Amino acid sequence: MTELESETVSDLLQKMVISICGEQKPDVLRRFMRFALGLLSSTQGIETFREDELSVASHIKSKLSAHDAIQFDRLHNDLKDKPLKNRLGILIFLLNMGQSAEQVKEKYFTFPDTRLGLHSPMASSSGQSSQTSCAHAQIVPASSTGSSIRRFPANPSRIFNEDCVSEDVLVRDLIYSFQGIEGKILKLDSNYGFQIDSTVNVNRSHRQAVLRLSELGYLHNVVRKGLDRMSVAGAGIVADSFVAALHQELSEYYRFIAIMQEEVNRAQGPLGLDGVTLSHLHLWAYDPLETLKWMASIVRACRGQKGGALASAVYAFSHHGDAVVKRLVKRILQSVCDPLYNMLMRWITDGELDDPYKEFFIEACADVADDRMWHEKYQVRDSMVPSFISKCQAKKILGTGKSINFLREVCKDFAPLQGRDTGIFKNNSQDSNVEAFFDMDPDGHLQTMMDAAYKETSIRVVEILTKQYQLMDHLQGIKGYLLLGQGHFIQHLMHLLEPELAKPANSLYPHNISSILETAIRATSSKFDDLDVQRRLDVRLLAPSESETGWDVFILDYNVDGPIGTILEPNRQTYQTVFFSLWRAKRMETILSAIWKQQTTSAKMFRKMREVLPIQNHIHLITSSMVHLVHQMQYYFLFEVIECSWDIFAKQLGQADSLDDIILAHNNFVESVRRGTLLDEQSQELMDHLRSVYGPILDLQNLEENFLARATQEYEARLNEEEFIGVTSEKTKKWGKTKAGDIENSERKSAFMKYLNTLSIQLRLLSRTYQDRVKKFLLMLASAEDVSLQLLSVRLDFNEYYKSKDSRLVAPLTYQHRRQNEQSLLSCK
Amino acid sequence: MPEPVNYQVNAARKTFQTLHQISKLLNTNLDAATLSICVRLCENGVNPHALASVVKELQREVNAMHNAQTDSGTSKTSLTK
Repeated sequence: MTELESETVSDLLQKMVISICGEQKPDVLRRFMRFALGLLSSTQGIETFREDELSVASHIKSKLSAHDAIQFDRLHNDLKDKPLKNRLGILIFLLNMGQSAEQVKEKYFTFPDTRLGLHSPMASSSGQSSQTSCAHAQIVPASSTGSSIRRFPANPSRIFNEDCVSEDVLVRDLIYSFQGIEGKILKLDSNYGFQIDSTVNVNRSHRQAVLRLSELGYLHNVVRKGLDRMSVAGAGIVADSFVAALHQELSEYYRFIAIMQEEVNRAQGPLGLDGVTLSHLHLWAYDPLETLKWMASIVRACRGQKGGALASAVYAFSHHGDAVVKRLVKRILQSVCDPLYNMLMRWITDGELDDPYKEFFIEACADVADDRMWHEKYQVRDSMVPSFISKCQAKKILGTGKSINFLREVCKDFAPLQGRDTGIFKNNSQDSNVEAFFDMDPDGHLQTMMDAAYKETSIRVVEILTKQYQLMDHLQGIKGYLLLGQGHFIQHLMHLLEPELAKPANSLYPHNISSILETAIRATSSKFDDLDVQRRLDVRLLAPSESETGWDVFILDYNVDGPIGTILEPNRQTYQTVFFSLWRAKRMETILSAIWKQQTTSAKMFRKMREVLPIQNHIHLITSSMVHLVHQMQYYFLFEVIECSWDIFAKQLGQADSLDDIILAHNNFVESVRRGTLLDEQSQELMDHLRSVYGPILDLQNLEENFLARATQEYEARLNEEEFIGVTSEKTKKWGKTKAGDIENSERKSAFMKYLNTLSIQLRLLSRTYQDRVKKFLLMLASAEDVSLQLLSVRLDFNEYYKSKDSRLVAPLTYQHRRQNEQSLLSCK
Repeated sequence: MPEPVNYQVNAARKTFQTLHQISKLLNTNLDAATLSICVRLCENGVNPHALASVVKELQREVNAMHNAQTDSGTSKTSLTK
């Protein structure tokens, strides 16, 4: 500071002292002067202005009423373009002076008498000062009450009860607790909740409010802990996105806390407006509290869940009336469903499963062979089906991807899905689709797309199977060969195989029979058939056991593989058993027709042997009845069962638009054939009995063959005898009959007669056995549940021959019997 | 060059008026003369805080002296004269 300046300063100071103190005695003035100089010079060097002009200005404004503040702003602006060297200094000075004035005013307010007394002498010193002090006197009451109101609620407890914790502290602690942090007063308890520290004395009304508010912190902790537990490694993509979604919601909550904290800071700062009270917090925390409550319950419900199950758990919350909750759940659900949706899209468009955490509702089993792939490789994982997807939809989705994989892996068809690039699939990337995923609007875009994809792939599969792999040809082949549709072929095959199959089972060789089979195929018109079908025909021999002939082990087989195998392979066994049973029936027919043929051809021969006629007649009768039964059975099996089922099957095949439909139709067909040919479990008894009915036929064959041999032998012996008498003796001129010859003849004759007697007894026995068995069989048929079997029973006994012999047979067809049966059935149940 | 001087004087006056208004707004209890002296002191680089406290102290002293004088009523009347 230069000399000149300091001089000016001291001059100015002197002037100031004089102007403030008015006319005083010089020694007083000097004292003041000294004091002022001392103070100023001692602080001269210290220029620690932390304040900047803006903050000082705002400080000043905060001291003024609204109207005055505006005025001050204007003046301050004016001041800015005025030539002042130390504007800041002047402002600070004024500010400090203003404060002092306020204090002075308070003094005046509290001691009005002295102020009034003081007023008059002041007025004399300067007119202006009296004016301003008058203005003070008017303003004072208003401003002082204002300030006292502001201070009062800030620390009420300090006024009423010194021990209680003040509301400000509580508010601060609460804000900590909102973030799950322990404060001085609120302590964490074992359940992540907050309790007021028992050593701290808190006003009772505050205590309640604080506890109510601390729920927010508790819920926050619950959500956080739940999320931490869920976000362990390997929890899955869906769980991860769930956690992410909730974290996002939490960050919204943190934003709210930050705003509150800001509010508190502003209230505590120098420019403090009203302080933040517990009621404020209550008001502000209302919405976040609701949100947190829902988040906590969602987290609780989703604990330990993953994948589709997690989506279901969240979805359960989405049907809530409150729009806020609904929106919250929807946000979470959206992000939860996003990975699932992506998996779904990849599955139904590319058939790819990208599911390292087993979250998707379709699972793939490894190590499944191609021909079992359709049935076993892909399954719906029931626990992971989100509740917004119905069983039927899940099945459709499964079918779509399965079809794609089937085409690719089994059919080796790598052509991309035709409709992939059409508009339906293009909109995939739209965000709204995730929403559509859990909305599952039946007419919605996603639904249409899934249906379209399903239909397209399914139809493609069906097309490939029927066109490229000739499914129909194979089915026709099976029906023709295994189900005896090609009668002439079977006839021929049986004819060729007869000598071979009569051998014991363990001396049969498949290659021999295969060559016979080939011969049969070539010989019959089936050579016009598809070569592929014929090539697949094969011979199978069951494991032979003792005393079995070739008839008991021979089976025709149909080799299936590739895509066709998917449909046919599971039913291969059934086809074989059906063939076995039909083959036996066919054989009975062949035997009977052979008997008949022999009888007819030998009839001429036997015309001369009168004693044989009754036997022949008897055999003829038995044969006829057997032929009738066997023919009726065959007709029933081949026409009523197989052809009718085939008709239904063919119709269903025509309508089928997915592989599943075909498989279902085929299974139905096979099942109905199995049931119709009495091979299912329920008609086991019937089948066994039918087999026992076949028994006498085989016996008859033996008897007949023996008889024929004996009769022929006898016939030839007689012929020889006569020839000897008629021709030889004539030539040799000897007696045609000798004694020895006569004895021999009569012995032979008597032996033959004896044989005929036993034969007739045997035949009678056989006939009775046969009839008994047939009667029993008819009875079983008539009392069967199936109407077609009852009708079969009627047809087998068309002339009521058996009925007239057995009165029991009449009963089953009467109404009374039927009702009794039903009643007993009901009572059984 | 009378004009610039005039202008400067005018500007100074306006500035002072503005400051005076602010002072009134803040109820600083200073008359125009004292204010102008204080402003000049500030312009000279005096610490404003210290200055404010000096002014307040002086005012307090003066008040105290006035009070003392009012107690002895005669001296007061003589002073006013």
